[in-house]
Amino acid sequence: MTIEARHLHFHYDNETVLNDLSLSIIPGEITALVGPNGSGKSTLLKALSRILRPQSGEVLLEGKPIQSWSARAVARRLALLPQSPEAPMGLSVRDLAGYGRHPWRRAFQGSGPEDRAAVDRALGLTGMTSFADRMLGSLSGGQRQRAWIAMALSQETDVLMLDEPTSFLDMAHQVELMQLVERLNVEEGRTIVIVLHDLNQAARIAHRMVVLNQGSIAADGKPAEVMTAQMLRRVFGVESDLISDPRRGTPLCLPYAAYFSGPDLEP
Amino acid sequence: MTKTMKTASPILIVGLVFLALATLSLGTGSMNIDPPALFSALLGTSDPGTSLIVWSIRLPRLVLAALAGASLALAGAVLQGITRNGLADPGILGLTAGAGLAVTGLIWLQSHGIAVEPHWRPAAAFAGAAFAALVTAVAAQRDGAIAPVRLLLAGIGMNALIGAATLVIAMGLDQQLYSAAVVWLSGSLSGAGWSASTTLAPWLAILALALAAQTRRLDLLSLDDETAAGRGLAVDRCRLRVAAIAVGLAGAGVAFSGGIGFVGLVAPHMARLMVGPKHAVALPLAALCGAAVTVAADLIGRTVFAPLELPAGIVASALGAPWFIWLMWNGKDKKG
Repeated sequence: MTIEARHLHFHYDNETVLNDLSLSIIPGEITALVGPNGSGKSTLLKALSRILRPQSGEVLLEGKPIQSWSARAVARRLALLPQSPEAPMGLSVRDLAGYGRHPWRRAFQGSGPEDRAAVDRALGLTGMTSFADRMLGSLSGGQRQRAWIAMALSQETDVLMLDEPTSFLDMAHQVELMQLVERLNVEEGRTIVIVLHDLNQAARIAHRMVVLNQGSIAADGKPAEVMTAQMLRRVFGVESDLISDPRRGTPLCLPYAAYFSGPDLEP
Repeated sequence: MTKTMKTASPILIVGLVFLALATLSLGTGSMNIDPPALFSALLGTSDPGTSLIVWSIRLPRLVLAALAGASLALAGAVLQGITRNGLADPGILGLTAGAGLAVTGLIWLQSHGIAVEPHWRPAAAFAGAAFAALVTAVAAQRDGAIAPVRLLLAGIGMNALIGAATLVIAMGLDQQLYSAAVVWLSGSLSGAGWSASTTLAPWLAILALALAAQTRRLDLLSLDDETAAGRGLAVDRCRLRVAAIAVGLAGAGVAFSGGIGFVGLVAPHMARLMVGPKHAVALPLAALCGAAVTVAADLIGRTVFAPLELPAGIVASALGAPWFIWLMWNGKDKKG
């Protein structure tokens, strides 16, 4: 499964969000998209998953322009989980997980053994089997996020696109989620494109970090190559010390000063 | 709500309630008929007088109430699903008002010597509802997409506008035609014959079948747009298609009985409280609830103040409005 963005350009009224951005996702890898607020991470993820159409440039899925694919055909190959998904009241975890089967089912066709197996597997992978009959509204934030991921997993796609899945979660749930993402990559061989706010989290799990700044790619490579004091100063407007994660050897940044006047920073 | 009940039992329970209401409705009136006599009248083995009352007065009225209630409930359920707002219904979105304006316009033509047979009223009501829907949708759209919140706001605006126009036209009518308009606007089943039901039934059947093919898409539409699109749904196109079905259902629902309010709002809530939000089970149950509520409203309207008769729409509003306020007050449309 190849996904390639070519010269994407996207703007709202007069604010440029993506500026001549090209990127090729490498199958089998975890690619982390990072960058300051408003750098275009989420917009890029939406463009890569056909949810949003750029004003110019194109995304190629298996070499064909993604807009020429049907929404259903795309959804059989990649599953997007947006940042704050919403569900109506009274929906159970199993029902929600079943929604991921939509691209594989036809009208009037009930859920078949394949669908049930896929939902069971997704619930198992996310540790939600014992919560399957619980209402979404009765769950904790971490459990609810896992239920949404179960929905994306039951879609059984090669590619998973996650938009800041750890925001609003407490520390234990964040770690748990990162472990799940790694497992999906290592054990299931899924290609993962993930937008993350936390640079250290991204450096820990990603094969490749893509740093966005003002709609363009500011740095792209292995975490050890990308996480440098210069990059952090230039893109994020912080002075920081860099140390090595004692467990993994991946870079950890410890910011100690910020420039509030940076042109690309939010106040 | 702790846990959704199994699906079969709520349908059975509401079905039994509907049958009880139907029996009561067929048996109650200027001449009361007990269930055994009713049964033999239905089988055609009773005296001609009782048979006549049941077969040509009460049964057609009951059937029309049930069909109109079911249509409005289905329309309301779909509109609440696609706007993701539990306060949406054919009334709020201006569809009922559009139908009312068209029918009042027809009556106004009559007062100016252009005789239009009353049997054109259903067609006019349907066209009025569709036209109001179109204008609301155009007012709500931006860049070809319709955001649910804007649709709701546009509907509220349309309602005020159409209501004012209807009032202006109605004020120009003489006493007799004015009452005819008011009776229609308040949603009355009085004097309903079989022809209304035989016209409405095929419409309802076709639209309900079209809706049955969309239940899973409706489920996805009640999530946010991006999540729905991520599951492979062509969101805008799909929303337009089911909205068109809902407009058809709303138009059919008010075409013969006039603007029966609040059934489209209340019935879908009753269904979701019993079986949860999945449309494959919530839609049929909502239709059944809508039928039961409308039959109950009509029964109350024609018995409580007998021999005076209150239009079913007035009773439904009197019972439905407090529910509406309670819904807003309790914030029952919150997301889970």
